[in-house]
Amino acid sequence: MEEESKWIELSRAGSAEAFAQLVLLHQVRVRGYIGRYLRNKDVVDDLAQEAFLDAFRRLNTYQGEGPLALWLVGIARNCVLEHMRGEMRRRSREARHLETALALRRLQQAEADAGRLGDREREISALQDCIRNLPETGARLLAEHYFQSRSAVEIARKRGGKEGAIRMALLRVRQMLRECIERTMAAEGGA
Amino acid sequence: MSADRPRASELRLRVMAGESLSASEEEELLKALSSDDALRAELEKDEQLDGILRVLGRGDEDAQTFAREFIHREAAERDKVRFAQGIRIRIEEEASRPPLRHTTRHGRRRPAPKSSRGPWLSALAAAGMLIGLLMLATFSKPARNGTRRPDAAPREEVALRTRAKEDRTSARAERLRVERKLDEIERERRRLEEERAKADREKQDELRRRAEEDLAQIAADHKAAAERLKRAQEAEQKAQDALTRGRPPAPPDAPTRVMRAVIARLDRVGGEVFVVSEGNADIAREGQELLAGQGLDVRGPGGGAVVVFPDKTRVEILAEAEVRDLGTERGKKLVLERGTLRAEVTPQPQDQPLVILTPHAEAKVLGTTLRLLVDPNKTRLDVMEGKVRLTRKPDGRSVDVASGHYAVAAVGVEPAVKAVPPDTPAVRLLESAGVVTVNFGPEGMTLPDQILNDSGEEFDAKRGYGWKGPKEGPELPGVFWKDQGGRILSKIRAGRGAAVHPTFPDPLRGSCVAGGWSNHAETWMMPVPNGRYLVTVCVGYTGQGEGSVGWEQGPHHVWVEGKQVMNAVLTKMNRPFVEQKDVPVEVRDGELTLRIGGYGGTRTSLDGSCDTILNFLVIRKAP
Repeated sequence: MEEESKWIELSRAGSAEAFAQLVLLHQVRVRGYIGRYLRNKDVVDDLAQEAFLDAFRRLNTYQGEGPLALWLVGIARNCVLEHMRGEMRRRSREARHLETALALRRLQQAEADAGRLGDREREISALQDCIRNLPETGARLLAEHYFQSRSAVEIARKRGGKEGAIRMALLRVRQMLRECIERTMAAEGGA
Repeated sequence: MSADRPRASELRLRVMAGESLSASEEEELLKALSSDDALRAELEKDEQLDGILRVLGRGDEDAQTFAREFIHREAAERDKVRFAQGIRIRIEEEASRPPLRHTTRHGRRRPAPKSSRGPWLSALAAAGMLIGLLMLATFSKPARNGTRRPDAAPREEVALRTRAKEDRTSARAERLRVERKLDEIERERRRLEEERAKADREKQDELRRRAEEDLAQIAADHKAAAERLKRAQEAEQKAQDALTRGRPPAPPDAPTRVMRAVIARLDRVGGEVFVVSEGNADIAREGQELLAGQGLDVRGPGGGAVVVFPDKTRVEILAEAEVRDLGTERGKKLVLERGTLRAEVTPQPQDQPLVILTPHAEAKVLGTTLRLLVDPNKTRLDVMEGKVRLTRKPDGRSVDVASGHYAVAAVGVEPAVKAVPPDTPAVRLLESAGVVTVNFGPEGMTLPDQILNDSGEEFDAKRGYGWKGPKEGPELPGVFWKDQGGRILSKIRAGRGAAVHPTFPDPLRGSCVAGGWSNHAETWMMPVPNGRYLVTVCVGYTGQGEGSVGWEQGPHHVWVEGKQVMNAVLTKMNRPFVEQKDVPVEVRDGELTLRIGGYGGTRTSLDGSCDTILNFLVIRKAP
């Protein structure tokens, strides 16, 4: 925290390099929050950069009233909402019902996040702990898919199974992680 | 529908994996999500966690790159703000300066005539200045001898500095993109090396071979990216030097460059097209002469450019494509970095073919019409006329591609020549989305985008599908149907009839084409590329149960590529009124064939009739 305060002070004085240290520190939370609602990797990164640039310009308005991570996630949420509302306007002219319905649901969820940003932020920390406690088979599958960027098709080809089975196995690993996150947060007194 | 939770989960997982669903599957998923709140909440939470994991999985190196990118973006933003401020100051200065035409013969200024429109004139002057400066920024070039007119210097300086800054920003962005790509390549290389070592340890030859191939591709990607990085670094350095020295960068037609030979002309330009030369990108103009070593960058989805060589060889570069290093030394040469081009090549001398290089392959052309497509993973060559030799880069394996055929060069794919499938809407959908859905129903039905409709018409090559034989054929002897009182209603004619239920919400299941009466069979066909497909067939009629007859339909009898999918299936009221089945098939003759009817058995529906009612087909490319 002490180090974070130092970077904040230097950033307020106009040092982009100092702010980059804060970016490094909080990029998982900001990108993770955006990734929760948007699936395109490049869009996630662009919005995250936009959020950090906005935060850097407005750093003087951050008075330390809450954790910096929460403040950054709030800015990221505004970027996400603006982007998704634009997307919805564009989609309203298209006839792709499923995508439009899914996009609308994501927008509604992001809108409903206003009072839950603290939980969202803590979920990421809980998730990192839960990944460390996964059983070996689940951890290996998770690493292969998310950390080595292998698609279900590639994993299936390598293991000699069906891609549908790999997707279901990944779904089960994510279910375990969600249960673990809920338990952790309940133990901490979260939602 | 909510009962089928595993099916809904499976569909949602496919959507999350980036797969496209057919219209009926989308409908199925939407229904499941809207009717089962718990399922929807469950799947949404899962999707959110998947999104977070994708970010977490990107590792420390990616985080470092992301933080570096922030610094560069911030600097670029700052440049933009400073530039905008500079322009505003200049506009204010220019607007406040009295106009020159009011100078007297003795050089003394007369006051400008007063006018109530004064503020408007100032605004107009400011707007004019802005437009002027922007035009200067875009088009101005210093005089050819390198000296500038003294009176033009300040404005030109501003414009050229602007261009230098823009050049630096775009070169920097390019460098960052390439650096990120190189990071990705490096990570992938390390992973593949681990895989190869593991294959060695476990003596898995097949795995080792695949890892070797992937590593060869990675090495080629790395080389290409390293070259791109070098160019980007040089361009950035050049722009930076120009700014540091306080001098504009050398214009593209400076004396050192005009010495290069003119080798072709830009015949047509549409959309955002840039002529790229030594890292600089200038807006392309129709009629512009192209020099050896230059390239073209067609940005955005709507653009395109046509290059014509003196011998009338014509190369059309389509949207979002990049061509570089045009040359004519010992034969025409160009590099297609990405995207698609079409070429009509005038016969070339035997020892000087036109050579087109891509990241994966080399195509040697002596005179032909061809299309070449490059994406990150492969190069595809389609030959319309003549013959072209395509050589795969890592191993030098080559194939001769003749007229009406195509070949693909990619790692892990055996180079093989295949017939070019016809250019029909169905084939285009299969190639772009991997799936095509055909509804059977009357003409003019309103259907979601990308669903084709068949109303029982005879095959038409341009439409790309249809039936053998006319829609209405001769009367079929001995075939009739009865009402519930047992009265014979009419004799049946061969051919097909289409119908749509007026209120049923799902147009795919609510419309149909009926045919294949009794022993009579009808054949439907669609030319498609050879390969394996999963075909879904749906039969039945949603109107059964309404009216006095028609409450039982069938027996439906369907074969796809000679495989029986429906065997005398009766669809009834109080039972599922449609029946849907999947069948995997392999097409080897370039045509997917479906046959209905031809049932020779004794089973009939309760009205005594025997026909097959088709609702829809979904044809998916199998992986």
